[in-house]
Amino acid sequence: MITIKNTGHIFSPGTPNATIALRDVNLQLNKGDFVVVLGANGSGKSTLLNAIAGVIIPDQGEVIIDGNDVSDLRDFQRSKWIARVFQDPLAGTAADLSILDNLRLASIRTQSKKLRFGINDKFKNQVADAVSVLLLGLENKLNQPVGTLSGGQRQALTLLMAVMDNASVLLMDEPTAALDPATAARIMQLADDLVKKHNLTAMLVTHSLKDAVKYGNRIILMKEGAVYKEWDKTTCKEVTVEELIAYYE
Amino acid sequence: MDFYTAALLQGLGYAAMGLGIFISLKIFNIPDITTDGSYTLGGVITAVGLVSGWHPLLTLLFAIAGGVGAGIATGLIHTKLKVNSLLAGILVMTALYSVNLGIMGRPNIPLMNVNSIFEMLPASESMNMELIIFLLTVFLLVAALYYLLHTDFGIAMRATGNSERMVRAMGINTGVMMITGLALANGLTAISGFLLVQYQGFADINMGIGIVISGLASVMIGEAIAKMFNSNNILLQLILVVAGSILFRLILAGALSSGLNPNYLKLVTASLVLVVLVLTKFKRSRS
Repeated sequence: MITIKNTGHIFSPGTPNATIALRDVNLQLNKGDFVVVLGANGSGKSTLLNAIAGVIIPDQGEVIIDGNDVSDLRDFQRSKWIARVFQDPLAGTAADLSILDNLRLASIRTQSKKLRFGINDKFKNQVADAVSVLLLGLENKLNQPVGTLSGGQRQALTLLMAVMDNASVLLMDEPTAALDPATAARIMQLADDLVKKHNLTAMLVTHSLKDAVKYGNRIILMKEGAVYKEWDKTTCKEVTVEELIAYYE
Repeated sequence: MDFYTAALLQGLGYAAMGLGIFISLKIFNIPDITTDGSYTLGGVITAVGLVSGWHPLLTLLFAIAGGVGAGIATGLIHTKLKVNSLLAGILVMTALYSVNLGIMGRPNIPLMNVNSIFEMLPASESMNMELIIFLLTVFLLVAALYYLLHTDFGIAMRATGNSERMVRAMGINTGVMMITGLALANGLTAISGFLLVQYQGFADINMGIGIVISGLASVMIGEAIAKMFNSNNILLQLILVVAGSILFRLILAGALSSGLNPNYLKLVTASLVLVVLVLTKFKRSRS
């Protein structure tokens, strides 16, 4: 569960380029929520996501995750609760490391990285089982560098890595923007399955209104750094792509 | 033939620095110029320590600590003060020149009648003590790095140079990781300073000028050979860095013995590194 209280942020304050990215945003995201954040470019949706992830520390306001005030924690300190998927499908995995090494890091995301060997036969079997769910045949390529895989395969792996270690929150910043339509659809389906299976609080920033209607059980539309319109669990079921597109005009 | 034995010994002596450059260049993508200063620092501390009658292993600890300190300085300047990594290295290298001169008190210290690392094993006529000590050191370092890079911490370290966003999302402080990596790299470099000073019998304030290029050369020669095997096995990569270091010294020895004017040595060195660099550029590492 995430609570965002009175959060505001200004980029380049005190200069002629000052931009109000977030104005007094209040939000509560519950377990099982699949929140889709929509809005035109520059409306503040990515800033909102980055404020939750800790990539930017907002000028004002509080972020509370599962009862912990994380407002002053940096992104790597918030990884205890938050797993992330990036717009760049190559950013979520380390190219020169094997699939096994990547998944090892993911499996200790919330723990400290000690001077001990973590990859044993038990872990290898566990990873082989986990990646076989993706139906990409990766279970036979565990020692292969991730850099040899395609963008779609790497994004699927990133999603899988997100749930390797006690995730509570999944933040996705346009995860399918760089993928072909078929791969994009598979990735979104995988994300939806994982969110349901692990009962995560998910936030998806996207420009795909189709995905918003299909997967979101809450939709938030942002404008000029504030929440402009929200569709809750009930109204979300009836909203259509045509209805949403009207808000962009 | 003695000429080539000397080259082999030098190659092994400089291998520790090569391994250090492997960490900074291959893992963190930083061409770390601090090396010039931390190599001399390691050598300078060694000379002063041994002349003062310290035990060689105690001297080694101090030399490593010096290198680690230099690496931390560069790391802090780069990550905390947001100075470009190359520039941070140049700054620390420049500052170290004065530090080294201050530690020695003069530009040059000869090692006469000191108890060096080569006297630690019982002397024997039939064995080359220097070769044994150098081989042993290189073996221990490769084994230690192989172990380190396969631990959870080592995996995190290797990932840091790949995708900073991913590593932070995995709960790793990339700044601390980078400082640790540079400390490790320069600690290794100082070990080369420690070995070479005892091998050549003196420490000199200018001994480190341009030395970083030999480290870069060993890593790149190693990388070029690794490409032929098409392998990303870490043990192989570490061994190839050592092989690269030896090969590089043999090439220089070959060039000198075939009548190259020693004045052109650095020119030849730079050209050699450029050639290897361009050769390995094709099929360069993945993004």
